[in-house]
Amino acid sequence: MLFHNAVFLFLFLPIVFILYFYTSKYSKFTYEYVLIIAGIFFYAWFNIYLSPLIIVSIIFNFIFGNLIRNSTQIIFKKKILFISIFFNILYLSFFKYSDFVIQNINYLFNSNIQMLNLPFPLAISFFTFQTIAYLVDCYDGNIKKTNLTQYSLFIIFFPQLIAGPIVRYNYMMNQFNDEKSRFINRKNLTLGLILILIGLFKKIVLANHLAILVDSGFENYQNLEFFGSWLTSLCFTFQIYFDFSGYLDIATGVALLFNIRLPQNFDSPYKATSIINFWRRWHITLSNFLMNYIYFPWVKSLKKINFFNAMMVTFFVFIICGIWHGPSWLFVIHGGWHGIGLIINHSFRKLFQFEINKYIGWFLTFNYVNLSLVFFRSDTLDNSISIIKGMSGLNGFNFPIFFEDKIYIIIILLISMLISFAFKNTKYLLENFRIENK
Amino acid sequence: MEDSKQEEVICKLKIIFEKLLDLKIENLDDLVFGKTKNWDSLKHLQIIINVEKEFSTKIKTSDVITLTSFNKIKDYILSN
Repeated sequence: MLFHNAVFLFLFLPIVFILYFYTSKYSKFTYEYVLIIAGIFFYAWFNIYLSPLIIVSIIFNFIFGNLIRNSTQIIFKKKILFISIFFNILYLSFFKYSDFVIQNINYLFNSNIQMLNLPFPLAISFFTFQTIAYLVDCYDGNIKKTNLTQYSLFIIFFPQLIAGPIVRYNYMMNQFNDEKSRFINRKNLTLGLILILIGLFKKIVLANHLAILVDSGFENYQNLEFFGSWLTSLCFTFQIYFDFSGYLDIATGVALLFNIRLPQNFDSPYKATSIINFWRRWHITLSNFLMNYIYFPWVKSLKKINFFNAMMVTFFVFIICGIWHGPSWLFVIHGGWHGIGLIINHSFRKLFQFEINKYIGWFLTFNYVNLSLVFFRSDTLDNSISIIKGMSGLNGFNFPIFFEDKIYIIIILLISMLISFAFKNTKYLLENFRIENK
Repeated sequence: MEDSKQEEVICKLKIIFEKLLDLKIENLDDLVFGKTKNWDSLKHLQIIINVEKEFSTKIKTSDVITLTSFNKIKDYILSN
């Protein structure tokens, strides 16, 4: 069930909303079960046979968390932490990367190992990271009290289950356990509905229309010249942003209906004036996770902490970031591309003392990101190279015929650009929204 | 007593920040990760390591990312 589905918006959500506040009124605890059952139902809607996988993950990690929390021996604690993180990465890798590994082994050694063709459990990438953050929190002694019900709710809370944002246990539970969350809040309700509408606009009006041109462009990539390839790549750059940020606006809005404030995941990323700045604005909870749980411990573990070593780690963290997005070398290239961008950005800052003009910085950053997304969207490397060649003018300048009935999408693209470059974002709305009390 | 401890922490932190970020501190409230010049992810980690050394403390993995300003680091040390 997706957020912009009528069944979700007009049936599932209102039923859960009514049940949640109705049960909250009569019992202190049942509200948790309403949300947990709703989460399982929401997950099972995609593929009922895969829902046991998330339940298995919840049970195992709850046990791991308890072992870590209750242990008094630091060595044992550390061991369990490593085993549990290893288990989670293996769990994710098995379903997500098995066939990718087999494919590469077959290619390298000319072998013929059969693919496993495993189904992909939805949301596994997100809940794996969220679970790792939970286990580290257990190790650090940040989680004083928990039980299976509360932990299940933390993982399976349906607004942020599928595509994040990646949240921390205490951040969520402090809100769930707040007595004030039990009552309908007029401000949150209004703001939540506004955010859902904004998200739906971003997704249905902007992203879904841009996708029509993008799909056609990438399908006919061999025939794309200068204008066609620029149009295709730009449309994708805005499609992916509005698709993802729209989805998260809806997630934030839906969570607000239940008085839960999710952390912001985007902060006008296309206004970024450097690649460093871009990663503080794009998929913020993911970059925070990568920085806190991979980059910092990795650099800290090095014998010598210097600029060169830190840059190497940055590069490899972004390779991990790339592969996390999916089992494809093109995602690895996308990650590596950003890793290199960050190294160039950091080196420039270190070597030259002057600040680059912000408009030039913005122009360079936007185009660097735009190019990286060509790899992200392409099916093959050949596909990416052909489009980049087209963008450079090497494939000529004749506007492609198959775009002629899609001229209206250029208007959608211009609107998308205007919103991304000039408008305030939903973070501003969340921070400044006021409602008059009658 | 409390005030003198706070003064001491601020003083020691100021030395670490000025040395690592290569700047002269004017206003403590202005020192924010990502906003203050030179305070990037690498410098952040160096600040954390130096703070751990200076105050003989261990900052938890899960807390490193939350200490995003001079004042937050100061409060963290004072409360631990």
